[in-house]
Amino acid sequence: MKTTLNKTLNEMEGGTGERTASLEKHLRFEQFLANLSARFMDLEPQAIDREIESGFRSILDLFGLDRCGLFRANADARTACLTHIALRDGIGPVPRGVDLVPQFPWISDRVFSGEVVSINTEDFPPEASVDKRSAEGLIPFRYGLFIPLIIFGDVRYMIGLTMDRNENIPGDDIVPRLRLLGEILVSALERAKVARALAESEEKYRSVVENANEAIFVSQGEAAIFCNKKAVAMSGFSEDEILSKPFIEFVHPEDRDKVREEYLARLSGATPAARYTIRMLTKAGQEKWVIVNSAQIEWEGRPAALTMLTDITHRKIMEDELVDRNMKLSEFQTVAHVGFLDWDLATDQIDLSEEACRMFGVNPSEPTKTPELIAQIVHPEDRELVRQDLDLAFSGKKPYDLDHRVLRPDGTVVWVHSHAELRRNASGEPTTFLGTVVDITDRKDAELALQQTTCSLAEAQRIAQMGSWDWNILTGELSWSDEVYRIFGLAPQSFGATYEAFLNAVHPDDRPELEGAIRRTMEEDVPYNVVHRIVRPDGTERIVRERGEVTRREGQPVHMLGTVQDLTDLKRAQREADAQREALARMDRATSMGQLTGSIAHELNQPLTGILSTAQAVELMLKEGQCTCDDLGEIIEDIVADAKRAGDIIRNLRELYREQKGDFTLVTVREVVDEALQVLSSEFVMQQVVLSVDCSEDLPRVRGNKVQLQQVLVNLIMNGHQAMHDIAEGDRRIHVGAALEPEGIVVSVEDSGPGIDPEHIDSIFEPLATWKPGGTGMGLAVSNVIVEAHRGRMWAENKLEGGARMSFVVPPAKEGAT
Amino acid sequence: MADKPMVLIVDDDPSARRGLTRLIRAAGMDAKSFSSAVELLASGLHEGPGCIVLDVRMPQMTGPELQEELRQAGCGMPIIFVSGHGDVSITAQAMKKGAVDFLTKPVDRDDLLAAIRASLARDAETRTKRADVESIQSRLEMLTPREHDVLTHVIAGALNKQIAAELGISEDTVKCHRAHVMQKFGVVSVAELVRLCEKAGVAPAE
Repeated sequence: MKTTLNKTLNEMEGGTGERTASLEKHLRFEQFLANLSARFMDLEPQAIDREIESGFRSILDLFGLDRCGLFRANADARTACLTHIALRDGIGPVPRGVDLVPQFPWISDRVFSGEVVSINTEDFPPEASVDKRSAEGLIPFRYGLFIPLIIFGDVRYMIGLTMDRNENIPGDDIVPRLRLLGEILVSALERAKVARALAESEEKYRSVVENANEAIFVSQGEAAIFCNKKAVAMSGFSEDEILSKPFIEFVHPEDRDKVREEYLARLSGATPAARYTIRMLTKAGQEKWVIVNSAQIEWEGRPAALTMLTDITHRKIMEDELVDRNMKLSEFQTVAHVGFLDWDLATDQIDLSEEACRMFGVNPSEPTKTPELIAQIVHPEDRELVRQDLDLAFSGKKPYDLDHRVLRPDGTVVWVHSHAELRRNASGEPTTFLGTVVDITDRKDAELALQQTTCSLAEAQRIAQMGSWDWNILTGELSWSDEVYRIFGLAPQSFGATYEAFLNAVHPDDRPELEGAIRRTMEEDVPYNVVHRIVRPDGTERIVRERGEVTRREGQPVHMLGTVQDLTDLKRAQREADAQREALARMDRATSMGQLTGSIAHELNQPLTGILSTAQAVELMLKEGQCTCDDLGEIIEDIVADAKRAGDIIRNLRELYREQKGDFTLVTVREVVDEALQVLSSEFVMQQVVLSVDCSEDLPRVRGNKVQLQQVLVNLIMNGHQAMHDIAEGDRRIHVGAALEPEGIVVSVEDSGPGIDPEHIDSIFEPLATWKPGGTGMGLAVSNVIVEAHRGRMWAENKLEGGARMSFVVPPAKEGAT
Repeated sequence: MADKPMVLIVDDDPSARRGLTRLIRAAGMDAKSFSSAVELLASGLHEGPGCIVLDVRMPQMTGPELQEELRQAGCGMPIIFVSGHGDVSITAQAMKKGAVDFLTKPVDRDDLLAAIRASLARDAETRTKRADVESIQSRLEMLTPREHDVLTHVIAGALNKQIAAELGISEDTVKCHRAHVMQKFGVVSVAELVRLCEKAGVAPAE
């Protein structure tokens, strides 16, 4: 037993030196990654650019690079634009926002095919470059690493590192790590983009919408939440009145069913946008004819219905009057942006009103035009559409009513809405084609801006893996954005989502918590924010963050709107960083246990000596026949006690080596201290160290990992202990204290050594910052990582009376709170 | 010499101390245990035959430190070191300073008893040798200075005539001194005299 133990311990001791170097790189990078991913999980969008560049600066320092940057890549154009960069001091500036890659064709071709490009050359540009002249005026580098970041099959970003020399270049093993880093950064960037796009789209609307010629309403669920000035003017209601009632109440009772039908059709995705004519009721009870344009949009991050109303009451009246009295209304037309056209089929001449001439960009002094001329004015891309609708109108199948573009002779484009009817004489022969044209360019621009915004939102949602949903609590209807379907592993809009279908997809273990949160949100009107798992139809699990909030009418919840974000990849990155940290902690434990080999063997051999000697004594006594039952009883008691003691030692040792998960449990500080001291007890005896402990039994517990906290304490004590190497034996003292302070539970280790050199005091938690003989330089750095993972911090100071004090603080667990 | 030898056990660990004591007693030897080096020193030095079984790592005073202390105090008891962890440099130093053996815990009975037996044998031998030397020394002290001079020349192998010439006395006087020396040493032959003097470290004349 002894031999195997010693062998294992010796093996652990061996190779510490080589390991330390790679350990250091790993440690610093993992520490950095773990911190970064934790920070980026909930970062404010405006802080992202700064955080990314400060992250790059760390990488720069870590690998001794000259430049480290992030490029936003355009896979179609094969360009990449530098968005973030960190430079080593003394390195000349590199402009941001410039497409750099086209100037490096020998890199970009490979990067855009998804390859990691590593360049290490004495010669710039390298031989491989087709044309050296293309590199003129560029920043030469000797070493470069370019890592494409692929999202949904396209190279969307690229990380680039360069150095002006070939010495100490980083190894290939940094590529996967940088990729991991890239994933974290890109996900954060895309989330920021979603936030920005939302803010921008809102702003864009407001200016277009406020000044639009149409009345605009935005409603979520049934309630209107926004209206513009024109809506107030058109309806005669005040803004407050409009926002206080459902949109449907402004609609003429006879037309309400039509509006509902259109709304449901749009929700089901059958018709993304619709246009139809209805009557509205003003406050004064007047009827108004309006054209309704509706679309689903995102409003302040949540799905909403956008409704635009164009008042055509005057037109309706005018049409009637025109037909009846053949009146000239040019003045009024100008004000209303309405023009007339009168196509005499007998003469095949078209009469245009002054306003219509203005719209078409033709000379009003020649009021009579041929159909050919008008046909040329229609925008080439819309000509076919116009012709089809004309055919339909002439065949009497439907009235002529469409939006199309007009390409004026001066090259400008105008959107018009045309409405016309075929008039027949008493015998049913068509005589004239009579109609109106309305300039709707402003409205079309707003629609287009809206469409683009919605497109880029959908794209951003896809990249940020964030979707939105809208649940009508009254009807039980649930509408999901495409990204939600994608997160749940379903084809977009593949089935009519329901709350039950959603709950079924939630991991059974997480259902109660989620349902509880949703119930609370409905009852208490506070938004919920829950991280839970879902199970896709193919059985794979995803981790999502689900946020939701309720809208109410008369105090009753009617709608719930929310977002769902897929955190699986982020969590994975975080888990990988955690696992790396655990592996490091284990390596450090092995190293420090290697240093303790002697003490452990010594510790274990004591009870073994007791057992072996006693057993062999009994053997002799039995042979001599001089053994009494009383003797035997006492002897067996001793053997049992010694065997238990040996078992305890082994168990302690195993605890320290256990391949364990980083699970956090409630930990008693006193136990951490006692068990750490037990491991070290024989080390103290051997080195003649006087130990004192001041640790109250009733300190609050800590949420943490006991083995790792013990490791921190063992490291601190060993550190203090080694610092007292040159101190006379009688004067070696270690004091371990633990107390509750305002900041948290403070655990400190004091020694009576020479203190810490003031030059080192700020850097002692850096890897390899060792100045003592035989130190690996990893212990304090690993301890620091562990303490940070416990949301604590660590510091070192010199005592006034001499000696050093190393302390760490961890927050007490919130017990009783769920 | 008729005293029964005593094995002194010094170990701060109660398990090891109890086990070792029990084993040695079971082997039929007298044993006495101490929980520290200081306790042993305080008990007064053991005069009779015996040996010490000594742990290396102990608080206050370590095994090697006790070894040095005893050496300076002139205690020649053989020491067997037992250690929980073999350490080459400590072993080498202890052996250089005269330790009989250096055993690693857990100690096997046969190894331990063999080492104790060897120690006790060495102790007995040392004691006999010391007794011999002491008796020769007491005889030497009985000689007059002149007789001592004559003795150193006799054991150097000089003839009476040569001695007389060297010391400037008559040959008869030499013969007389020589007879006294032989008588005081209780020996009849010069060969016997030479052996005793060698044992006691008396140097022959040049």
